[in-house]
Amino acid sequence: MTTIAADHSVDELMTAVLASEIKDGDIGMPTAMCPLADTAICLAKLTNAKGMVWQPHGGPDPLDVYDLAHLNSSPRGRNAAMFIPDWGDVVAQMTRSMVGFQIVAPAQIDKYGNMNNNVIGDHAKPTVRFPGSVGMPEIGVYHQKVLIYEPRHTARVFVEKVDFISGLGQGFGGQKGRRQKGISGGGPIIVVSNLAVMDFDEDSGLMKIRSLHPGVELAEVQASTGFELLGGESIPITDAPTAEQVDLIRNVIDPEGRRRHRM
Amino acid sequence: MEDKLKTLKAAVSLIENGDVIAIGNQKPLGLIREIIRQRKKDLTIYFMMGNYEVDMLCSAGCVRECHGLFVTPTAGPHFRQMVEAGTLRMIDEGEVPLHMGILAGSMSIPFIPLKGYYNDMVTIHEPLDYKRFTSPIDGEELLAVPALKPDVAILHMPRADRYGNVQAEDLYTYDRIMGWWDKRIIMAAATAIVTVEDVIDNSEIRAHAEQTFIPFYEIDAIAEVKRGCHPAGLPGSYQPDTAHMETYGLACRDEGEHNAYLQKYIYGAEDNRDYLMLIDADAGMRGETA
Repeated sequence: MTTIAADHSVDELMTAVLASEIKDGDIGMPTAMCPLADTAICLAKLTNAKGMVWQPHGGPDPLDVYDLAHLNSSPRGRNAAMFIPDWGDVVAQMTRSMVGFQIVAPAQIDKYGNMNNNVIGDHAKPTVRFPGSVGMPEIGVYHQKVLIYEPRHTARVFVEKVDFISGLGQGFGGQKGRRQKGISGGGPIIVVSNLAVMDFDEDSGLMKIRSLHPGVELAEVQASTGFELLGGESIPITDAPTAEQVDLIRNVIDPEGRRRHRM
Repeated sequence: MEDKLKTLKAAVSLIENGDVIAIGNQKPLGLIREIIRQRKKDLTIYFMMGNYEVDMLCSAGCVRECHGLFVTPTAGPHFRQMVEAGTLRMIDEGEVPLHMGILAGSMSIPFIPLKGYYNDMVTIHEPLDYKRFTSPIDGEELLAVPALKPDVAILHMPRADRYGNVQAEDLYTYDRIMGWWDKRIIMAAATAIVTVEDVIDNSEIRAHAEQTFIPFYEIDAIAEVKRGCHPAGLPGSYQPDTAHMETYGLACRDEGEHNAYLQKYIYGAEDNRDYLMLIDADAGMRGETA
């Protein structure tokens, strides 16, 4: 019997939505500087996806403790990993699309879910130069699924067309288009913001509204988005987290509230 | 076996203006300071994760083009400022293509194919020269990732003998990901320069062949550079010097202070020994024992 949490904040709601996309057996890779992503991974591992395989630094499942203080500790730490891969191992794991998911928060996201973490403006002389994309190209084409989150839903982040495609979205025409191009990974399947949950139209690959967070109007989401979101007549309200989930997030996984970074 | 032991100065003089340099993950910062001291120009640098060394090389005017995955923003502001000003080009490599390029280079084959690889780096970037082609085996569309053949590879390691047998105890047992790149840049480059903390006798190498990370025939020059990763640390040997990194960070606040930093610690120091005397004097001023 699950009980809906009596009260919850939007970061807890976002965490629970992301966690629900993680399944038993999924191999998960870490993303630096994304504490809300880390919170969702811990929550999944403690509730709906106990059989998920976590691998910081590519070494599978080093932990028996799931909280933000331990999640990405080195495989040499007290909870030893089973394997320490070299780069050839990691490449072969990625190109075979063995990695189940990664949760990312790109600087720009467009209507196809293309992700930009490189530059704002022209690549040769950018207005803003970011540190770099690291694995985002691989995430976009090889991982089975990419879960995107954005703590501040604005038209500066959600743009018609990203200035630079660091990680590939659904612009080849959804999953079918990807397969026709020989792309083995599924790309972004969900975008969770502080206002709503979005996913992608199966055929066109265009972003559409899946649910609105409690108290949020469609017009507000649309006004904060730099392109037209697809959406049906009656859009459901995002499922609230359970009392157990909220308790785990607040008291076990992230008592310091690091997940609220950039909120 | 040929004696490859050189002074740091002589080793760095193997680098020419305009060269393509691959930097190992075990960053040879003493060697990089010597590159700056010798005022090398128009270098193209390849790296995985850029840090302090990228900011310093760029700010000293040695670099024309960077290729890498990431440059740590906390290392210094010059990289970002110069790219935004259009005076420095950053080519954003993909993790897998960068590593497949160096693998192809290390095997002396022209390219390695990838399947289903798309992003703006491989589609719009002419400098990377990727090409799509049809597989002669099964007709699938593939991406040819061209071989990366650096002119020079540079790396710092714990020890080597004078013939170039480079050893590390467990440096790479816990960081095999980083070691994979470090070994392949040495194999792919026309000239391989490794600086080490200690030059040891060949008999010590032979007593522990299992610790030899790179054999002598891959190496062109060995130079002994004590604390050669400073201000970064060398696992198992010394910790990062965070106080000195802070000194660099503070000097980055304006151009005058930054030039004074380069003048004091790099141009004004004759060699690495001189540099370490300055570093030890700083530590002494802070009341630390060197």
